[in-house]
Amino acid sequence: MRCSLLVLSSYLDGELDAPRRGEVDGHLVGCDRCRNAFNYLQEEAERIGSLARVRVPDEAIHGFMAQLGLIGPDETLPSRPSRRPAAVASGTPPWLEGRTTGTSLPWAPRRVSEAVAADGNQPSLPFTTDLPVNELFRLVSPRADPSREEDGEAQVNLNGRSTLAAGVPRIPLVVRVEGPAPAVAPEQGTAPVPPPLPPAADAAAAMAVHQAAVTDADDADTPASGEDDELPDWAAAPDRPEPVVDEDPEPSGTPQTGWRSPPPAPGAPGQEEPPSSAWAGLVGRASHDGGPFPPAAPPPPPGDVPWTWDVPQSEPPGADVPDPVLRDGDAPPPVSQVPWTLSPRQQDRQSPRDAGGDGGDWADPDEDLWAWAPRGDVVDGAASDPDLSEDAEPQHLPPPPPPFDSTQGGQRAGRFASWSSLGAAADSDAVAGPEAGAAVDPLMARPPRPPRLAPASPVSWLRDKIALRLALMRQPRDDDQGMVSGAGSPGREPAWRAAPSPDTAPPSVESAGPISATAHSWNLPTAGGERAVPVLPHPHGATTAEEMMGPADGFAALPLAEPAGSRVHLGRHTRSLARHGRVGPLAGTLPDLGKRLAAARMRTRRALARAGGWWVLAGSLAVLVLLLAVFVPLSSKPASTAVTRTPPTAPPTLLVTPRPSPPTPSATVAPTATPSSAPAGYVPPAPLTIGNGGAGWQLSSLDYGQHATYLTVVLNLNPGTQGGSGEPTVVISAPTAQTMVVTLTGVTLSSSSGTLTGSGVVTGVGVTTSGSQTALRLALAQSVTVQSAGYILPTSPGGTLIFYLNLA
Amino acid sequence: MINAAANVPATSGEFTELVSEHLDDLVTYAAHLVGDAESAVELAAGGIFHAAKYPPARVRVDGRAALYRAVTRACRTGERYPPRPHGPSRLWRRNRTPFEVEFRGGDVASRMNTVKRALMTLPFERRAALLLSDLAQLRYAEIARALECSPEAASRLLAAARREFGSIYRELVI
Repeated sequence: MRCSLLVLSSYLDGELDAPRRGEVDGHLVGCDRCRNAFNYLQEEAERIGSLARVRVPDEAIHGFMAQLGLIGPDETLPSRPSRRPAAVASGTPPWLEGRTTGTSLPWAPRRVSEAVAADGNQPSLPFTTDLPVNELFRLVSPRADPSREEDGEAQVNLNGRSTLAAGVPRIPLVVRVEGPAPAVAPEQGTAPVPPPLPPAADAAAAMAVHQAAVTDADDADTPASGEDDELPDWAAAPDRPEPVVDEDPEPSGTPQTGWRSPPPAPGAPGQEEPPSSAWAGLVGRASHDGGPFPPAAPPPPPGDVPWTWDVPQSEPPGADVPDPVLRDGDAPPPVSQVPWTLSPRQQDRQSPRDAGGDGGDWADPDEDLWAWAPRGDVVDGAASDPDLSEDAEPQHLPPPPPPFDSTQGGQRAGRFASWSSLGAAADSDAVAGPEAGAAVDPLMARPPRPPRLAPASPVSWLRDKIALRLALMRQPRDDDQGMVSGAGSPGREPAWRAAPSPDTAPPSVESAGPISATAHSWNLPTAGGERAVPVLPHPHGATTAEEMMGPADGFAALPLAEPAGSRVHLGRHTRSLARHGRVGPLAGTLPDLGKRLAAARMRTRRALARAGGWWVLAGSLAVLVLLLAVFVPLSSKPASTAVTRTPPTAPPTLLVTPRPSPPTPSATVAPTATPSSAPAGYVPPAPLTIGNGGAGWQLSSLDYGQHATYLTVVLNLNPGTQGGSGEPTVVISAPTAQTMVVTLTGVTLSSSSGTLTGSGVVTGVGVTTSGSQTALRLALAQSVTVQSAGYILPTSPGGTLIFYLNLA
Repeated sequence: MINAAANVPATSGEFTELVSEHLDDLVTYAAHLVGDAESAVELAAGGIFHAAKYPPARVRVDGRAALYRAVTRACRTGERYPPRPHGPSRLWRRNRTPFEVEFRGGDVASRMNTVKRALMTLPFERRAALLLSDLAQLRYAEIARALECSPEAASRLLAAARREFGSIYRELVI
């Protein structure tokens, strides 16, 4: 058989067939791993099975059904069937008798919100502390009950985990009766007095009888008990009456079993005086917190009813917690009968409760039961579980159980050595309070861990360095006690901040290094202006940190050179950094720029090498040049040649500045004549030449065209007798500010010459001809500027050639 | 062969008796499944209300599994009784009369401890399987009906739930 959790789970649930189950039984005998796993599974199933139950009272079921519409308002609800067989052994404690799942347990804790009514069917709680540990914490798996379908489980949760299956022959709890017959509290007068228990042998005999009962109840198929990994199958004889052994002739104080065990009277022979510190506190707490509780029973006469357990009736079954409540006047049980003896420390721990204190001085490490163990290893459900810790309800639990003795009884010793003991208190529904976690066996707790050194890391190294630097920079107080000045202490200011006058400037420069800069950057001033750790002024000057923590508190504001009269003194480290461009406004820019350029160059070279080398670069350059050669000439040529109007070959920027007294224009001025009366301040502009040397033209007419901003002078040239060709050369000059001479070469007058009337700017025109030259002298009213001049070619051969001159 | 007796519709008396018998367990199961006893009553009522509308043919045989199945579905989908209004209309619609049922043990069942904390970390199906098996004491066939899966899947689900619960519980305890 293979080890399988699935098989074990099915085996635990009883879902395997008989051959398979037998196979698993045999496997569990020899396989420790599977046995442990099975134990774990069983404990976890018990934990879940011991969760608190919610109970809807019988009187509320009718309303529930009516609201759901299952029954009418007047319809009677059928009686609630009992889910537990009523046939129970006579020796079974009454709280284990055929009660439904929701039946409250006698020791369930009281709740303020739930009224506690006296129940006559509930007897007093057995003297729990008289029970041996193996009886108290005996776990009986409900899975061992083959008749599980009867839903007849009852649960006994002494620690929130124990569960008894249905119909299980109850544990014969041995009672040693030494005093008078136990009685119940007056308010529980209806409770039947438990049947008198027959006398029994000593504890060993009682245990032997109990074991015999267990053995008898075992199923035949169950392997021989005695092994820690097997639980007795008590469900085989559900109705078997149990033998009860309840007598211990020897008053030796041996742990007894029994569901009711009144303690002996105080001062009884063979009994120790009960320590009031151990139990009176419980009584005191019960009386103090007994506001919602019913009135306490009157103290019984001595020797009659020493004490009894309170039995809340209407407690939900979910609160299946052994939470005994002692009444006032009840005598505590003798310590000798407590299975585990209270240590003096534990007894002292109970002392504050006797005085009505709030319970415990757990803060005192000397009084801490777990002081020997590391805090994290104390498995304390109350400490780790806030819900348990917040429960202010007094928990009247016995002191922590002792280590489970595998030699005594020993059925569950091996299992208690597992996780169940550690989580005994945490998984309980009602076990709460500081005692909840005390149910853990101290010997089962893990040993304290040895201290481990944290592995060094760069961060920790840097942190240590900074801490060291901070420690070195701290300033001692004036009282020379070695105390570091705090935020509110009058520590001295740093040199750069405290010195009010230039006289107190530090002498020389010394730096603490960049590490101090980091440290100081963390030591920013607080809201009150004080630093958490004042900076110790260095005897040799300011540190780098102090420089940087100046008015601007930054690298950018750090001057690279010490200004005259400044109180800021650069340290040698800072000066060195500034020389290398590491600090200052441009810190890091130039080296970064060089690095970026170098990186870009390297990237380019790598790309070229990958793409084919320099040939690619050469080809790219060639393409670029070709593109330039194609597009640049195209952009420089005229856009269109359809119009015969030729553009001017040169910008006609002929400027004529005015003259204070313009002379009267003369019509007979030689075009090339140099003006003799040129003013001293006038500088004639360079002559403007237009045309390409054409000849054979005759000046036929001269027109004016007045425009908004300029005046156009049009010369109409007709071809001569030999025919005109080309564009005759025109030279435009301005000998004076108000005289313009236009000389046309290769142009003759067609008919006559004379003085033309002016028009606007041109007040008169004088035309002269000499050979093949014709000169026009324009008399101007003001200084003008030649905006444009040029030829308009004839549209047809033999047409008129037009020369225009725009004057602004 | 057709079992004619199996097709006999269940009488309301049988179903009511069944609900009355298992009401505590159903509410307990719902309380530990959702971690809140107050809501558990409404969710259990929602499941029972749904199961009452569609009762199983064999109430005595399949009734318990059907009830747990209905309650499980109600807990999964949040189906309560009386149903809570959804949508924007809940702002102006008047709620129905709250479901007032007296029950006991709700404070203890709702109080968190390590077991419940470990339970709440499990997925819903695994948590339901654990509770159905260990708390409600259902067999694998009934768990399969309640969780709407096969018995083999229920066994695997339960084994995985136990494994996960154990590991989480030990971590929480330690």
